[in-house]
Amino acid sequence: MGLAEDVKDYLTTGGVTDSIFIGEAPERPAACVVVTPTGGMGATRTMSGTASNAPREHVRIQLRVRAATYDACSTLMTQAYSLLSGMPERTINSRRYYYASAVQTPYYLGQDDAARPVIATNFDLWRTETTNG
Amino acid sequence: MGNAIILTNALLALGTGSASADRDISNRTTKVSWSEEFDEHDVTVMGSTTRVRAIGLGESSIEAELLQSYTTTDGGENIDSIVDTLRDLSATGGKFLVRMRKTNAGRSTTNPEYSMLCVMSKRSIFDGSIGDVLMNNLSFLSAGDVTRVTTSS
Repeated sequence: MGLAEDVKDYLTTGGVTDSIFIGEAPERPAACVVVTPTGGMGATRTMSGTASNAPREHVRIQLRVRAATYDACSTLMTQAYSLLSGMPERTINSRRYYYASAVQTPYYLGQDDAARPVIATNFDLWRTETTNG
Repeated sequence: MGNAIILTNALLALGTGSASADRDISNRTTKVSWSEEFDEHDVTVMGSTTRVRAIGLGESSIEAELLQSYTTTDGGENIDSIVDTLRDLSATGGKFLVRMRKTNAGRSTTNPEYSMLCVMSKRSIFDGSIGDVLMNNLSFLSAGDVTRVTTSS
């Protein structure tokens, strides 16, 4: 499973019941969360002759939340933000995630084409590069 | 044009006694530095047309940056436990062997092994900030000669 799928599963397990999409969201439903992987800082490697087994990998996601009203959008973002900000070590889909930290607090991104508010933020996550970690 | 060497898989091993260095800590290691220097004496005499230097006692030191660890269950060594053992060993007059190769493969003329008996005069017990990777920086001083071996192992 990829980074976005892992975050999606974590949010679902944490109690987010609205639709969660990866990459982009369709027109409906109005209320949804979108998880998009963006550029992280890469891996912290140790001496090794094996590819893709770094003990630490620094990745980043953008989280966008949309809803019919600003209040609903803010509530949904608060729920998702609370789950990810300071997320302690856990295993998600066989991969060890060490930590997650918000790059910034959520910010209003504007309205989409259907005049629905969108709030966004970014998270740094540290995980093992391999699913064997 | 000569080929560059990209360091990705060095061997760094140490022992908890002077007889062997069988604790391979390579997969915890992100950086290693080993240097040697000698006292330098000015032995210039009357009649010399240039300053003359003589080399005296040598000293070597090893610095390594490691990911801190408190377990061996993930396939690496327990760095905290090893460092604690080396601390006790050094504090009671003991020495320990450290070995290093450019590549974690057999010794050869193109992959020499350097080794040296060491003591540890300082250690980092804990040094980290929230959200950072917890590291442990090792610092060893020479307690014996530096040895270079190229025969196959």
